[in-house]
Amino acid sequence: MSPPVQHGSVDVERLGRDRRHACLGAMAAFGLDALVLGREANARYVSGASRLWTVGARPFGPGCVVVAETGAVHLLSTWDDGIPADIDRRHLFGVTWNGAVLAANLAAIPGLASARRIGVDGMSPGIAALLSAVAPEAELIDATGVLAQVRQPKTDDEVATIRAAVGVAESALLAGVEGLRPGVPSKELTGRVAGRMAELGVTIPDPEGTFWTTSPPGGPAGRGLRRPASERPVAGSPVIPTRLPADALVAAHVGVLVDGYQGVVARTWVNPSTVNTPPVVSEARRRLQERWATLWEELLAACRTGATGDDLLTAYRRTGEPLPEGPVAHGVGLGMEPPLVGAGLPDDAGRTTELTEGTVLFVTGQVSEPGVGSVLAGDTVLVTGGGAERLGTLGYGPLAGGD
Amino acid sequence: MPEAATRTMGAVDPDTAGVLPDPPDLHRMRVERHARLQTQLGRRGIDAVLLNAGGAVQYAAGPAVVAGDGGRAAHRRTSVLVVAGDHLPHLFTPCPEGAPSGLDADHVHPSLYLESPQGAEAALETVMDLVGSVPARLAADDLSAPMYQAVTRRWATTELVDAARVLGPARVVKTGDELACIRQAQRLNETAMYDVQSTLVDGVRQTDLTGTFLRRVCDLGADANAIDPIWQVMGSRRSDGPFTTNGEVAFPLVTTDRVLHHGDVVWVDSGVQVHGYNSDFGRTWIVGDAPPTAQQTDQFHRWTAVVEAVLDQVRPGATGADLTAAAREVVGGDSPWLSHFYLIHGLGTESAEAPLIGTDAGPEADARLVLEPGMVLVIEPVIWDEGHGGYRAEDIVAVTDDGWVALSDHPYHPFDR
Repeated sequence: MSPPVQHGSVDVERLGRDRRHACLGAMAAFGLDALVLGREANARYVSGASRLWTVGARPFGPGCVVVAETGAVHLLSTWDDGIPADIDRRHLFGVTWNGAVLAANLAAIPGLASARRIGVDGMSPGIAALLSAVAPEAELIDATGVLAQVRQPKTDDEVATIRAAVGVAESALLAGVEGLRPGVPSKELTGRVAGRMAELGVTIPDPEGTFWTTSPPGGPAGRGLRRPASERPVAGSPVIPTRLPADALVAAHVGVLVDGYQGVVARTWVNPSTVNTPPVVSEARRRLQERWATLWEELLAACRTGATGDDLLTAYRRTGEPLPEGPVAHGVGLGMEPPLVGAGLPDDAGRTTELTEGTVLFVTGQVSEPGVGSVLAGDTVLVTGGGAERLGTLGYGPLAGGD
Repeated sequence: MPEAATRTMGAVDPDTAGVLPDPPDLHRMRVERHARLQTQLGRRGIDAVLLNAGGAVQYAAGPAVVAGDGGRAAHRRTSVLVVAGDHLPHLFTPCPEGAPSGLDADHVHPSLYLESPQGAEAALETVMDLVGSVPARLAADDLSAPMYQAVTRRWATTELVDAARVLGPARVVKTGDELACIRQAQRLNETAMYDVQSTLVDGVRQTDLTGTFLRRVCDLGADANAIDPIWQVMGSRRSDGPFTTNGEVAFPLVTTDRVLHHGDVVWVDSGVQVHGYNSDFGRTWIVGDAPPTAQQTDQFHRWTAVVEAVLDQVRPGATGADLTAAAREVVGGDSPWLSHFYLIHGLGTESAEAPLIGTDAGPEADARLVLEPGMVLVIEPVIWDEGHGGYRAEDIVAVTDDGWVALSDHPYHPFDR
């Protein structure tokens, strides 16, 4: 079976080796005897396994176990399809619906029962009880931060895979905005995005293609990313129309996972006034776009080696643009990851994180004007010594004078 | 509904008018679900339940969310806190406009960030404020590791209880509105599959089928796709597939851009969400509309016989063991389902939930499981003839007062011509 999209420079075996080496190194540095991982991205990081994707947040379960003493990776999988060849078949344990069988499967993993410090990336009361029976001496340690640190700097193979994912996301976003017309249901554009992704061999969205108007009549400007189509508002919230009105500013947010790695892009487009006419860009909208471009320049300059997440917030302050809701930047790797920077997030989510060489971020600029709406656009970028390197090539659409 | 018990699956429209509300009353559904959660909290002396997993959040509050990967769901969390005695659930969401109508503004909060120590500490404060004190008994499903560490260190006296103890008994029996949501999701999924099957020709890629499916379910108004759709080409022997830990047929395998060829036997499995409820579509197809061989047709007939034998037993008071016994008898004693799964699973805000029948939890568990009206049964036998491949499909019923009513209704083409 061929890889889904072309990213020819990637050496998959080297990628897997590098990741596992980094993970085992961190375990040694933090004195972890074992890792019990429930988050699919962490499991994939250390194992390279491609397992069945399901949407959203799952309850915690021990899907992957790493033992420091043996260096072995043990996986919850009833088969070896999608499992890298360097993982011993004997290290697979099958799906079970029986707690006693799960406990026995875990107890049979060499080195786990005697572990004293087990790093975990999630927990449930039920699994905590089960683990304390399997490894009675063990303390459960929060390994979230350790794993985030290990995953933050990307190897060249990882960057190349992310670049491929960004290409798919950009192509899919274009397929979505090509469907713009007065009154088009936003879900129809979501479907167009999914269709293009699949044409390119990619079936995992993150986020699913999301389209919403940032110039709702009478609605407040300044709303952040990721608005679901909804006619179920709470008191005081704007109705987000499920159909996109003529001449509206339409924000699009599209992401995909390629071989587990994410590519994300956001743009603001203009819905035409009538079918088959080019969108009209008013002077007020043009000025808004210019403000966005000024902010964007500051944001890209802040994505340089040695800066911190806080420098992205400074870019907003320096240009006088208020922070939108939600993150203005998040880490990009095996899905969304730290650092996260923005309004309503604790400082240790990313504001104090150093942007090291090889950090990949999805950065969004957003500017708003009452009565006009919002322009928001964002790109997946690589942090370098000289500022951000965009990992995509998509233009900024009609607002910026493009097609 | 005396006619329901004699209806053949898929042969006619499962006209459930008069049986299920159409359309479902979403407000009533949320009120009834909340009442059930409150009953369980009261019965078990639990102060509050904190829910983070997608299906649990849908059950407890039913918000509209943006679909995405688990990493996104962790960092842009939608959570629910149900406090004992409260008239509404508290919803924490990055998308407040997705809060359901009927939820007061003082029960809609910004998203909790549970992936860092500071975020977890803040979440603890929030929970304490809303409960009114440090909870003595707190039920939870998926705690982040920082949250687990914060709870166990700061709330040393708090007893943590698995949320399944609250959720399990609350949601195993569905209300009529819940059944109507499942039926809506299933019909939507089935409708999309007509379009997909029409493209199943020599040279099509698995991912092409996914593209057709996802476009169609979006156009039809699904809230989200729940699972990467499966279009697995089945060999004739187990050894044609990958190694398995249990020697069983490997299914379901991840979709790739593999090209399908005329005559390939394809096991299909998919699920979408409507109002938070999942569909579950399972069929066996043949690429290029090739006619099934005599052996394949015979497999389909045996599969049908198993389903009919199971349905003959479905009524309140029957046990899971009655159903597994009926299935085994048809095929001469073997268990006609995948040993790593089940003969039957439930369906709701999870794509597989209780009741689970025929799992490795063992025959005692099946014997303890007693059917009640409102339980949903996804029946998914597998007929496998080593050397000749197999047939798999899934059909869905809800247990009624005196039998069952179909929630799925889709032909078995090309086996049923």
